[in-house]
Amino acid sequence: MDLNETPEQRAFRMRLREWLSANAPNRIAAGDFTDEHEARVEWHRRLHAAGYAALSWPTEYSGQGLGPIEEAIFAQEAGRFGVPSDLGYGFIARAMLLFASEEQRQRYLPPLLAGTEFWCQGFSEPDAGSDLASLRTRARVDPSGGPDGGFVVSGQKTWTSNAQWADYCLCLVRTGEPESRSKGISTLIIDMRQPGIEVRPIRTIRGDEEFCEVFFDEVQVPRSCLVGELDEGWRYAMVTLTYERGPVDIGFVTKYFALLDRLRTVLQDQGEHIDSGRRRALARAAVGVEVLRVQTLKSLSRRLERPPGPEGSIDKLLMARVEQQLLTAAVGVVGGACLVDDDEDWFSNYLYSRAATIYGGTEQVQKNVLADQCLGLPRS
Amino acid sequence: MEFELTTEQQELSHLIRGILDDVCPAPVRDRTAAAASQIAEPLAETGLAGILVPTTLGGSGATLIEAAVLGEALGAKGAPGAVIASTLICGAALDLVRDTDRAKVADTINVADPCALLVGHDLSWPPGGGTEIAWGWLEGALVLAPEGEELVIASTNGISAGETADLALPIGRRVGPPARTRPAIAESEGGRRFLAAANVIMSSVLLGHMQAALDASVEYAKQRHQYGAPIGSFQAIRHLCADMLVDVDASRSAAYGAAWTVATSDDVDEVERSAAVAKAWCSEAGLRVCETALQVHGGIGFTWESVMNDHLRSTHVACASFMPLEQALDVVAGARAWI
Repeated sequence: MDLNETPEQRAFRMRLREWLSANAPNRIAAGDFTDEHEARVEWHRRLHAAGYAALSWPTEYSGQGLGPIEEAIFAQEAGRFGVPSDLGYGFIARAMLLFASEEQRQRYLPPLLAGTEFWCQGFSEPDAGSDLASLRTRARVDPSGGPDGGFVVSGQKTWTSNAQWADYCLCLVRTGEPESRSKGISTLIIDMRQPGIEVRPIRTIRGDEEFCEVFFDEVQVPRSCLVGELDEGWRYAMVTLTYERGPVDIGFVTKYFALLDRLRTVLQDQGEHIDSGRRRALARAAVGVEVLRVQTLKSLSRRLERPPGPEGSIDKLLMARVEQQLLTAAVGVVGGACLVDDDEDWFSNYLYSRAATIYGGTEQVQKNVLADQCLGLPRS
Repeated sequence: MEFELTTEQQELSHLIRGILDDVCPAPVRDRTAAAASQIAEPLAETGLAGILVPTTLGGSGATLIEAAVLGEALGAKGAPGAVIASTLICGAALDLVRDTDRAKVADTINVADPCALLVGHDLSWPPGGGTEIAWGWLEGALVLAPEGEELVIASTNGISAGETADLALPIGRRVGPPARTRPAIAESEGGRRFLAAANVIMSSVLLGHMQAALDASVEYAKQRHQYGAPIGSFQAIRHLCADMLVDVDASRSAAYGAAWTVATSDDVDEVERSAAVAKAWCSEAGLRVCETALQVHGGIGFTWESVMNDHLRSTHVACASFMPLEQALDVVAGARAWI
């Protein structure tokens, strides 16, 4: 057991810190970047130009050829400067790296990682949320195209983050019989800039438009846009989700530390009016964030040995619990003021935290994963 | 960076568990010297008793990480508390012991003879006068008590055997006059370091109890049938077990992460904070896990015979011992309030 950095990792951190102190945008209030796609894109491109985006990706696809440790160091330092990391397309790119053909990787990965083409992930549907295997968006083989013909896609996706800006969608579609569940699903790359696709933003509980509904009406998709084997898409999706689940990939821990720092200031400004209840609520939230940080180190250290497995659901559940506890404490510490005038985004962040137990597989789905795959409990 | 235990640390864990499987296959419910000596002998023979005693004083000179491995195993098996007191708590306190007493204390620990630590009436450390508790006390034990910024071998006059909620932990009780001033040892760097180490050790003991409670619950949920199916197939039970797994896995991160920090950091503020984080987390998680485990066991968990009885009781005592939750939270909040 040794949690120290190597001299090389330390040097990377110091170099990065120096670059960030010269290049990090001045003031970024919470929510600025999630609301403002353009700002995030510009930031991503600056990072990429400086060699600080796509750190753990192979150099032949315009990544930096480094590892998860450097990625974690980046997330920490970005958090220290209050700036976001690169665009969070990690799991889509991961799916492409693992399952796409060399030709597809050469075509799509470099612009994805450079932030010049944007992607969304078409998984959930109105009637296929937690029960993803029941998805119905249909891709039938175009009868006019012969045995190697392309597909014609019709159906609807929902909760599709960033679809309004996306150039491509990594989309799960039904290619088998309607009731074939996980056995008849394929993965397609769908060009979003073509006729037959309609994107309607969904307004979320906090008033922004982070995700969308996407409608496909007889959309043409060439055979060359099939990822991997026909009807094997479910397996690819499940592996992709394990990369979406951990805080290692999302780099939220540093965001939580930044929120804690701001909350500490709020508490100090309250001076003699601080009651021990508020102080302990904040301390309890800080305990959670600190434990999540160490948990992330543990997962990172495992990630160096082997790919992520079902235990990623532990990290996801812990992260959701810690985030919700932190933002619930925040509303308590700041008090009614954030309900009257929320210019510091405390209430907005609190509302957003309620999604942590829903996105990327609900809390209940994650618990089923653990019961089945980590604890070996019988299924009903 | 490597979080996993080294091969040597894993072998240590196997060695300890092998010994404990032989000597106490089920949680001990015996606070007598006889029960403690049964486990003390193999621990002394293998050099594990003096795990925290420096080699110059005849011990193994291991770090707090190895001590946490031992603490986890002792908690999981429900080992006698007197051994935890002597080997781990007093072992961690050795640096604080006055020079002239240190060799004698080390000799006592190395053979796993009883060595107790004086704490307050509510099990917090340091003791503050009035009723005080000798944590891990058996007839004839050495008792370490603060004097200035040091610990000394204290007189055992007036100490009589008492009981806590923990069925495996013997204690002594002494009633004295309340102290006028708060002990200087609490504010000294050595005292703060010892308290951090004690919190890490109790975190590892709590982790052991949690893991054992989870394992027993999963096993029970697979075997117990109702409505014609194992109860572990019902989502209500499966989700309780998953909740426990999250708590246990995060507690493992918390306990060993803090063990590493306390063992390696020169910064006493960081050491103190990291141990308080682990103790606060493992205390709350430990109670959640043991209470949930009891629930999964249904009526069986509520019986005197159930091992949930041992784990839940010991967990409460471990939570309160040396630093209660509220105090740990205050340390994290940046105010080291004397309570």
